[in-house]
Amino acid sequence: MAPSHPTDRFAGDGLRPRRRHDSPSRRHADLGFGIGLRTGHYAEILAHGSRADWFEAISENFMVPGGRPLDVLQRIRADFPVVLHGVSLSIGGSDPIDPQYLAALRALIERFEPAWVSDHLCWTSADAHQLHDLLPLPWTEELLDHLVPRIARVQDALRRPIVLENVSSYLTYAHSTMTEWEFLAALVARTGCDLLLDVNNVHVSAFNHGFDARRYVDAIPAEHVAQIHLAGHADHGTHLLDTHDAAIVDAVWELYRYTIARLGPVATLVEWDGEVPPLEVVEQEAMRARAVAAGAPKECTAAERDARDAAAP
Amino acid sequence: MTLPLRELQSRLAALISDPATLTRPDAELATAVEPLGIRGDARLSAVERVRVYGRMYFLRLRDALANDLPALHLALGANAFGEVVQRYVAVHPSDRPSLRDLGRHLPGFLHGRPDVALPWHAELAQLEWAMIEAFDARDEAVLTTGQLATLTADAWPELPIRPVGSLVLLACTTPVDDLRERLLAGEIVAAGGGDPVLLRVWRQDRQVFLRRTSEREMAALRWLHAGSTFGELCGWLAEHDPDGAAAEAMSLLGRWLDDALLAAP
Repeated sequence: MAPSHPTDRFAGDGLRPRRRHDSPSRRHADLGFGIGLRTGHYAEILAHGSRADWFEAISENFMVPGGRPLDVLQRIRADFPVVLHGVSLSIGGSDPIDPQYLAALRALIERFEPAWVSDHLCWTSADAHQLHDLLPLPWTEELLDHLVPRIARVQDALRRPIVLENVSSYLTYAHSTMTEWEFLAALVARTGCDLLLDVNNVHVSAFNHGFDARRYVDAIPAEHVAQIHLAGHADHGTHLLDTHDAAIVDAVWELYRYTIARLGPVATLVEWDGEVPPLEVVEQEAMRARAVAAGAPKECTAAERDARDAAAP
Repeated sequence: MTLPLRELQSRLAALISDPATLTRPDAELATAVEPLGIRGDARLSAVERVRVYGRMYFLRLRDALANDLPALHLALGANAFGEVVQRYVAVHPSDRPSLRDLGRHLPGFLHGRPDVALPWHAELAQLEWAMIEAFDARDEAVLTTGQLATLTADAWPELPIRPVGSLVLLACTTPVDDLRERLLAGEIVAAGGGDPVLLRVWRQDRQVFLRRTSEREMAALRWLHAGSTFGELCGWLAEHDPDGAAAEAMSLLGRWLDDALLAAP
């Protein structure tokens, strides 16, 4: 398919994802450094292209009958790899998974051929009431049993693996029987699903619940990480809030550097949803991610670091 | 005792979406939070952790509706708009995955609710919602003058005539199109007033348009809503004006073609 809106800088290559360096141990291509597709940037991207390697589109924003958003995504897709990122699957919810939602997502997949499809490891609705928030789950064996058939149902309906993202959380449950990172590893082992590791969310939750962010990263099964998210957050003193409305803070850049050192190259995307700045500013964050990833050294794990510290006189 | 997942989520959802969660005394809220098994610590109690989600719930819904209905937001002012949103979502909690659909009941909710908003606020919401519906209505090919040029004289009476699916017709008691424009231009508009207007909202290519219309054109578009033929349109117009029907039909057709208002056969 010829690009409907070619640019000088980015010749269209049809609907195939542009693969950069594929890790032999990962199912998903390393797409490079992308940014979240936001309406305020549509015109500039269509007119001048972008320094970003790829875009992530919020699935629900395109579950509409027609009009400009779908047309814009079609035109951008002609020039760039695109990933669909959902916010309302409610994979951890107790309501049945909405078949209409899955059908709408399937239709988007067929139309835009995303490199992969992701959503969040959380619940977003209860008793058919959509809360439009990413709510935390108790990390238990019972939840694993609950998730396994739901993930299978989703993957069957979409005819592809689902990639699940860790969310920022502001509360945890006393009846959790394992840590979040232990749960993620168990979930991957049970379902074969892949992960979208949001490094900012790890940092935010680590602050809010008092755990070591590096220990979390260390426990993530590297071969199952399809993508990384980076974003800004707000510091409320007593807690950090995942707001996506500011630049990425130094501590998150440092954790990202550590994560890349642990995982190797992974497709990385910068999210900016509130007080969205000009495209150039978001692109600069993606270019900084590229520079940080390029300079990430091979590091020891937190466990190795602890062993080294214990052995030190 | 640990609650089953369904009950845990049901109770937590109820707390998060209840405005009272933000104002109830800690001790009272703690009674409702305690069975959920939420951990608190020295920095944030379990109650405060639930309130973090409660605050975000209303801010998110308010911001989504303010984004979709910017003129209504300006007309009411931030505080009153926030109160309207709180009352609205208590009656119409979101039941669809996309926030895009959240405001679909708002115009109806505001109608006949003087305790919440004035009548012209409801009409303003109706107009802004119509523009959203037109914005992402189904794409469809439109009837063009080129297609008409190929018609033989015999084929004209059978020409299918149907407005595009994005078309919304509104009969408003206040000139909300003008009020909307003034609000978005930064003018403070405290009261409605002015003459009633008939409006048509539709999408041409990728742009949404809004235009005042006459009673006659509005009636014709309503009559055509389900689709008809050019011959039947002429017949319907002739019921009101036998002599001028053909000329009126051609005049309406020309205007609708200019506005890309008719779907291709």
